[in-house]
Amino acid sequence: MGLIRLSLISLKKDLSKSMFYFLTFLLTTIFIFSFFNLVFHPGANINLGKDDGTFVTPIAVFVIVIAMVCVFLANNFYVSHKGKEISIILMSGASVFQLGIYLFFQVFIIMIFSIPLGLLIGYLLIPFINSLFASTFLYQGSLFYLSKQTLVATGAILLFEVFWCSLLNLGYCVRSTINSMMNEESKIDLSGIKGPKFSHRLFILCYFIPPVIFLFLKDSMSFLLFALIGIIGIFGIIKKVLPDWIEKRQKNESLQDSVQLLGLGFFHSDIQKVFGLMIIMLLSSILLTCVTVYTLKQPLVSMVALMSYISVMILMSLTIVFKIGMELNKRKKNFQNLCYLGFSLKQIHQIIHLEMKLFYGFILLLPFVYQVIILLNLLIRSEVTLYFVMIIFIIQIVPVVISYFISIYLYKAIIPKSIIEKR
Amino acid sequence: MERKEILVADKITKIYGIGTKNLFEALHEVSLTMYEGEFVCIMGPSGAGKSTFINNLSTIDIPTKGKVFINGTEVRVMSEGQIGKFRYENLGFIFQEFNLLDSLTIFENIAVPLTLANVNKEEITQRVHDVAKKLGVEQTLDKFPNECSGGQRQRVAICRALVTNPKIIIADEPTGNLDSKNSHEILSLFKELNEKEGVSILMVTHDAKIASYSTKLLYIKDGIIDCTIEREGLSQKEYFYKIVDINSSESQELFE
Ligand SMILES: Nc1ncnc2c1ncn2[C@@H]1O[C@H](COP(=O)(O)OP(=O)(O)OP(=O)(O)O)[C@@H](O)[C@H]1O
Ligand SMILES: [Mg+2]
Repeated sequence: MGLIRLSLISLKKDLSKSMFYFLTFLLTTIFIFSFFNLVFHPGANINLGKDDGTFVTPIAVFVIVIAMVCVFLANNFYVSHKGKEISIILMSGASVFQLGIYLFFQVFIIMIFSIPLGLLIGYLLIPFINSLFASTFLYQGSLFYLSKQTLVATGAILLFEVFWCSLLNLGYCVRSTINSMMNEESKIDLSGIKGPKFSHRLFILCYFIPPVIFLFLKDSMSFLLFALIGIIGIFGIIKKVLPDWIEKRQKNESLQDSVQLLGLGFFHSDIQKVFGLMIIMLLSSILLTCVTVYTLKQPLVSMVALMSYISVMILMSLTIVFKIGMELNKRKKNFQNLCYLGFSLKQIHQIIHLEMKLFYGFILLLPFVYQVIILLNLLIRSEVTLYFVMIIFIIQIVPVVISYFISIYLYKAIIPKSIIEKR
Repeated sequence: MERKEILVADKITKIYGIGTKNLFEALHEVSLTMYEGEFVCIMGPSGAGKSTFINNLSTIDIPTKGKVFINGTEVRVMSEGQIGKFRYENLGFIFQEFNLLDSLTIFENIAVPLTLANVNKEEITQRVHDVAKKLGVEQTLDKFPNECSGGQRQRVAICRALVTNPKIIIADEPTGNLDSKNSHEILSLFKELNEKEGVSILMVTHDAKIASYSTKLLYIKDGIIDCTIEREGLSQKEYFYKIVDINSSESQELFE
């Protein structure tokens, strides 16, 4: 049948577009598998659901939701990037049913490759997780264990994902007009969320009060509570304080320091485009650190939180890099024009580095301030080991730094060749 | 003789940016009845709403208010399946941007509508070659779109629109990237399809010479139909001057 052949050709020739989708599926599979395998470990004594005396049920819900969000985003990127293709197919007279088959086939093939691989990697990772756990929480027992429940739970979630994605894709095509798909207008957008109407000062205060309190806290459980206030602050800083500050600067110092202004301008548009993802990532860093600390007395539960933290950081970094990469593609023309206007390669590099440093700097540092204070507090009172502190720092820093370098690399690819050769 | 209505727009309004701060009404209650066998041209300044109008008229976009009837059925009550079938059987689209799939060869691009309709291989090959020959792109069939010139790509897009033998051609500046010789060849082809096979054509153009091939001209300005002229008994030349007049009255305002 011609349709399936068309679907395969498109999949084969657009492999790079499918890569991100593939990676997201692979990673979520690994994470969900590892997560459940820990939770269902007989030594953990965790009962999901009502009788759960620990903190695992909300963490589990959180992790599953994050994984779903990532798959949803990846799926959305994938399909909306195919907008042109889909609109041509519809224009040529395909029915929605045909289109459904067309998309499902591609998604299905990507999953056939990613899910078993994810399960295999998840299985092979068990010993590593085991040793990480042993050294972080000074735990003696073995974790090498594969429970039937893990397979059932992982399978159920993956099945749900596949079903959900196929349905969403079809819904997207039915709801959208050919015109909107052709222009590849994106569909999901968290930037419409309205925060509380605080003044700038209040947001900044919200951010800085908790760390001061953290200094004096003696009870590892209360960090979580105060961190919630800080999250309101972070939200306001990203949504209101930073954009307004940038706009003010752009008005006042117009064209005095064009490199700085351009860098800030791009940073501004990054924050707007990636707002939702940034918030999810910042929120996860802080909350999951606090939850890990909160449950220190129950090493296995704490380990589950730590695992979730790792998963979320990796998944969100990947998603942010991908989203930034897509934004960069749209900026090709801008840089072409900057070259025509006489900007030198060096200035363009300065613009890029400024933008990226600001962007990833904020993602890294806003939560990091909290983490440093919380962990130092605990370390001084020897509630945690130095090793534990290092692990948290690595989880926070490494994915962001890698994302930074990948983004810079992607950026270099869109600088017009002519200016590079001129040098 | 009772002429059959194929496309009817009843007071359609299009508002862009719903749900955002930047609401923009690109069309204000525009109505049009297009009869079978008509060759309607749309002109107007850039940003006047020409593309918006033909997109909303041809199932590519959905109007915010108002109704569109195709062959007497309102589009909104048609199922997706019916619309798809209708598109395949009746409509050939040519857009301002070429909208070819970069991952497919020119041959495959032209064949997409036939592939979807499960036409058999021999017939696909036959029909693609026929239409490619008509438009002078047989040599490019094995190439990819990015290996072709702008004009060639435009002609390929026209091939894809014509390969299903549509009853209505919807074209948004189909000759925008072609030199005048090529443009007139294509217009002659359209004219032939229109006169000999009764194909209806709805086309946007900026070029008064191209527009003079039509039987009816709509001049759109700021989202409304500013005026309509019918060719009726006029020769192509007289009609052309009338079209030039309308366009130049627009430019006249510049000097006042
Ligand atoms: N997707 C969209 N979202 C918001 N506004 C739009 C969108 N598409 C078009 N517009 C606006 O609607 C108006 C009409 O656009 P349209 O594309 O129909 O113009 P046009 O007459 O085809 O112009 P041109 O001759 O330049 O192609 C323009 O002012 C344009 O800015
Ligand atoms: Mg247009």
